[in-house]
Amino acid sequence: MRLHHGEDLEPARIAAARDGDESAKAWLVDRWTAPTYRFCRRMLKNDEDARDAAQETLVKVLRNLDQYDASRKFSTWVFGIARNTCIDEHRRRKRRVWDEPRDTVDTGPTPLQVASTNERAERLSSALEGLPPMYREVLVLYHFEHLKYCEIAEALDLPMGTVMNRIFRARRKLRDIYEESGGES
Amino acid sequence: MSEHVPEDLLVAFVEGEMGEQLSIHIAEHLDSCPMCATRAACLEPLGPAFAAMEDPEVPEGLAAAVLAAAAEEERPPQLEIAVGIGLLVAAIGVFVLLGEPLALASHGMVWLGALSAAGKALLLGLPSPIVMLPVTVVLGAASALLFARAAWPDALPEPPLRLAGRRLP
Repeated sequence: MRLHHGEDLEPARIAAARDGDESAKAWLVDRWTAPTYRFCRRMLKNDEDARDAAQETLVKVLRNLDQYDASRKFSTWVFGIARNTCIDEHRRRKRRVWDEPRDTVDTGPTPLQVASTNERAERLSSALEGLPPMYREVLVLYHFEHLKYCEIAEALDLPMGTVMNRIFRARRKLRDIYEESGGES
Repeated sequence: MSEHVPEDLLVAFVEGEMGEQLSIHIAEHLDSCPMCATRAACLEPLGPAFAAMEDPEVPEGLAAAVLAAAAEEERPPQLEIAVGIGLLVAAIGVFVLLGEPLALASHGMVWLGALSAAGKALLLGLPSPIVMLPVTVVLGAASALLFARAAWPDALPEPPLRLAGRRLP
């Protein structure tokens, strides 16, 4: 899991937020907005849907703090809620065009080496979007949110063996899509 | 697994070319051994491309929007309350039309559905009246049939009850 300033304060803030402390709630939202949005954006491929899903996730987190089991990692609980919210969002928006082209940022002219790196990243990003959600979510949690394997199993409420199988298959599929698009792994 | 993972096993792990049990053991080891986790990450062919990918930019004002939305009172689910009220009206209708204690007792589920709707309206977390709807419909139909049979015994045919192959008198 990515380290964050004041992470060791988290259990105390969670307890305070659970008791209704507004500043503790604000701290938790500030702490978890970026990871939650990043996850939703990578799962939903669309800025607007990701924003809605991230907001819904964090509201659920705040409203259900009394259901959080402190023996689990808070990150796995939050990502579990985010994942379920993304699935719901996906179902709700099924009629909309699902695979809209991803918004790209115009980075302007860059040195050749940087362009090459950006190109690889862009190609990988497209390949990742081509993966079914069940494979994409394990890779996003592992490679971007840096969850451990056991934490991914906890967040997705899956046995460790299933998580490992999904990660292996996801990597293989990702490599195939990436190489088909002209990238060299 | 207390020692570090040998290179060949790590390669097989990254390539996904090993059995489930062994891969679980290695994954558990990587979770607790930063050195082996780093070695495995270096073997991942797409690792550099993952590292080069930029994080999506978080929309401005999202955190504030979350806090504002969380502060709003949770709205009661309109559809569930409507179904519950419908069940309540049905229950009163059954009572007025039939007025039969048996029918009323059989419609306990209808009343329960209405109660759960009230619970939804007050955000008490009771079971949804929509979940109870099929049960109440079946019980309601059975109750109405029982009442009709009692009220108009000649209008409905008697079911052929048999015991040990003989028709009962």
